[in-house]
Amino acid sequence: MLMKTPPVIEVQDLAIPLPGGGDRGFAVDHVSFSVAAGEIVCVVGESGSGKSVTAQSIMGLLPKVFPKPAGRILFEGRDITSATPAELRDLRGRGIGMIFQEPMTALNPVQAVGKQIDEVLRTHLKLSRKARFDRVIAAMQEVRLPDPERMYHAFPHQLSGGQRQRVLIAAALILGPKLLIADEPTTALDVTTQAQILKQIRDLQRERGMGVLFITHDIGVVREIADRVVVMKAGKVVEHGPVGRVLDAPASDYTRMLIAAVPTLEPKRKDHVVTGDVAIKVDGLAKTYHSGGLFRDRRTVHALQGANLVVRRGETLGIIGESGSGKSTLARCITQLIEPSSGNVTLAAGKDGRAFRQRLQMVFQDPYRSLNPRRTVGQSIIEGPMNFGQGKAEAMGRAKELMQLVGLEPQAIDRFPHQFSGGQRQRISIARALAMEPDILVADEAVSALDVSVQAQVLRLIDDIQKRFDLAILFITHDLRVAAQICDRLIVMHRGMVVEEGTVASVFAAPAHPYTRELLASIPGRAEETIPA
Amino acid sequence: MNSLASPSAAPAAARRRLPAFLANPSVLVGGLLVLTLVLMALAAPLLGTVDPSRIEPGMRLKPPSGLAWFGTDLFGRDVYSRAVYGARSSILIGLCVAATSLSIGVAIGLVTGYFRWVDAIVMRVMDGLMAIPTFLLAIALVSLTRASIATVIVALTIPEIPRVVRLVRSVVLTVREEPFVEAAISVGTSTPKILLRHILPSTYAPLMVLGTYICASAILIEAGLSFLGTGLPPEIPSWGNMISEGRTFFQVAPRLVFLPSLFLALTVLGINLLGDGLRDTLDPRIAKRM
Repeated sequence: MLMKTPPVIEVQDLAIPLPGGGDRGFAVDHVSFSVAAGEIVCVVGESGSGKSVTAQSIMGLLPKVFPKPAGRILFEGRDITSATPAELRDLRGRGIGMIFQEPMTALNPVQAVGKQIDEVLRTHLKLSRKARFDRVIAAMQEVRLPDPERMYHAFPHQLSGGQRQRVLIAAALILGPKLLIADEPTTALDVTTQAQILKQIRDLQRERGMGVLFITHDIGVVREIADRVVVMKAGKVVEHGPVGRVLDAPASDYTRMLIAAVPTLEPKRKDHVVTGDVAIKVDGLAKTYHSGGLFRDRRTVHALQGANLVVRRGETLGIIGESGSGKSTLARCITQLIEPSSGNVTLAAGKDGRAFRQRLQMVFQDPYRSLNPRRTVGQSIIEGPMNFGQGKAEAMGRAKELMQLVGLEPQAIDRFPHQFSGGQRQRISIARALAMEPDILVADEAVSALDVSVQAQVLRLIDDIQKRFDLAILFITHDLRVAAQICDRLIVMHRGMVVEEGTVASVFAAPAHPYTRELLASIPGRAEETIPA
Repeated sequence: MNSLASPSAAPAAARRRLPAFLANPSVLVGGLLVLTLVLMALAAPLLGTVDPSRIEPGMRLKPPSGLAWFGTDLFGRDVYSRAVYGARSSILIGLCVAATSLSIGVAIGLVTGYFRWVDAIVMRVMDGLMAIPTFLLAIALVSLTRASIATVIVALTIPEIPRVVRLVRSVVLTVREEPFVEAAISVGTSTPKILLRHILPSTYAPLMVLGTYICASAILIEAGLSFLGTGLPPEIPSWGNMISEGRTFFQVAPRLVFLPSLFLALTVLGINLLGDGLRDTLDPRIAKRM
């Protein structure tokens, strides 16, 4: 018989019951998988699939609402479900390192980052101050943080998101754990930063030959990084296997659906001809923020500099950029939620003299916060029309029609937002915008918070209502895949400036600005696809 | 999973927990205590009392008997009747101070939280008010005018207003950044409607809790003022007056101090229990804001 070294981590028949009253009995429903040394296993699934809970139970960090899990978790062949808190503490750091989704909240805001990495050493090893400092600097160098000696004393808010995630990786890996658990480590980051962090994790994993359990919702990321894949749905493992087989020849319908729901980079609207009149024209829009004041130095931030754009009826203009690029500032200036420092927004001459707020409507990013939780969805939808003098009964009747139009039950109008899922809430937000019978719709990251399958449905809905109402749409997104699906033209923003403009096909095929090229190269999973010219 | 942690889940959860109010032991005990004392104050004439202000020189400092259950005081007035009637002024003052300081504080707080330029000015005034101890401010305000229930209410309300303003302002500052407020702006909702319809409701839960604390502290401070002789005039029966008058005879007749003190302690205990319980049931996070 051949003796095999046991996998770094092996999860056997793990079952975690959901605390009462859920739609299903188990958060994690008898799940088994393993991670061997030197491989990256991706657990992929949509929200609520139980992937994070699985990771937390391996670390012994399961939230207290959950009862004790059943099943076994073996770390190098040793069962750790029955480990004492002291043994688990020792295991965390030495045996298993973990990095989290939110690099801001995972770091202590009032402690220098170097000290936070040092804490791992202080907890687990007995070393002199000097030896610890040297190890921390070495660890920071390894994750390629610039100028580690200086950055040692920096506080988390002084670092960028990518740098913060690097600090966390340094802390997780400083003791050379056998296993790294990464729970959506790049979800909160920009694509270009994501690409760097993914490469870093991959490199470190190869150098050290450790196992990585990588949790993500993004099939593109799986393609970039995984050796093997575990697909989870509603607490169960739907499918697992080598990355090539699962992604290219999926056995289950669910996996096929997940993969198919990822938008392709092929511009969908290549043949769409826009003939409508100009609906909105933006000239030299700029926004400058001043901070400081009486006792501090004044600081000036140019959030937006001289943006020009034109959108015709029936046309979708995509505004692409990463966080801090000024795309949301542009949207807010256009919708007059903030006042621009200079420049003009001109709407086409309206026939009936309707107000600005009626003619231009907005759909917001976060479906959980853009509806007032204390008001029924009906009240939210009719608020706008009633502000402009429509009677309540008439507005309610119209709201019911709109609910139907966006694919929801008209009777559901008396329910509260928390009774709807994220995708349904985004439909309600769209209905609220349509209730004003706008000419122009501004969608600010309207599908970014949604799971891919839901995202596809909402994109179809937006496409559909655009045709029906001949809307001009300004679609703000950081996701080039989404942009390819719905936009006719793109403008690319970088540091408050428009750096590139053109049709989707031309920008994708021949990006002129270096930043656009970097953006395109960073799209996860892109290598597998060719972008048609 | 994520939705559990999202901020919008909090009010929804509070709504679901509303009937569970009474399952909280401190809400139950505190509520019952307060209810009993309020009923006692309302039904004072029916509880075997006599006119609390009637002076009978022949009955001075009599021990408890069938006629006067808790004996009589220096002026021959019935101690039991005075203590029961004293609940009226205490509870009236507590409720009025809570109600007026909440309403004025909410109005100021909404405006200061929403308009930055008002904020800078108003909050400096509020900081100034907060810098003076409540008790001193109340004494100063009462001594400016003739003592009466209305004066005491005004004097106790003014120092409480800054607390309410700060709480409401902090809620407004967070809620006004919520996307649903932006959404309301973008469908053309007017600013007063946004304040009342979208922002005000978020302050209800913390205000309910703050209201109970204000009520309890107003009752205590009123008793303190009356004890010092700067509160209610001596002819109005009040626990503070009674304790003050009974103090001189404490070694001869401790009952003169005992009964009003007991009522005072029970009232404040009841209200505070209620407030603590409400805070735990409604929203544990607001404890930090206060």
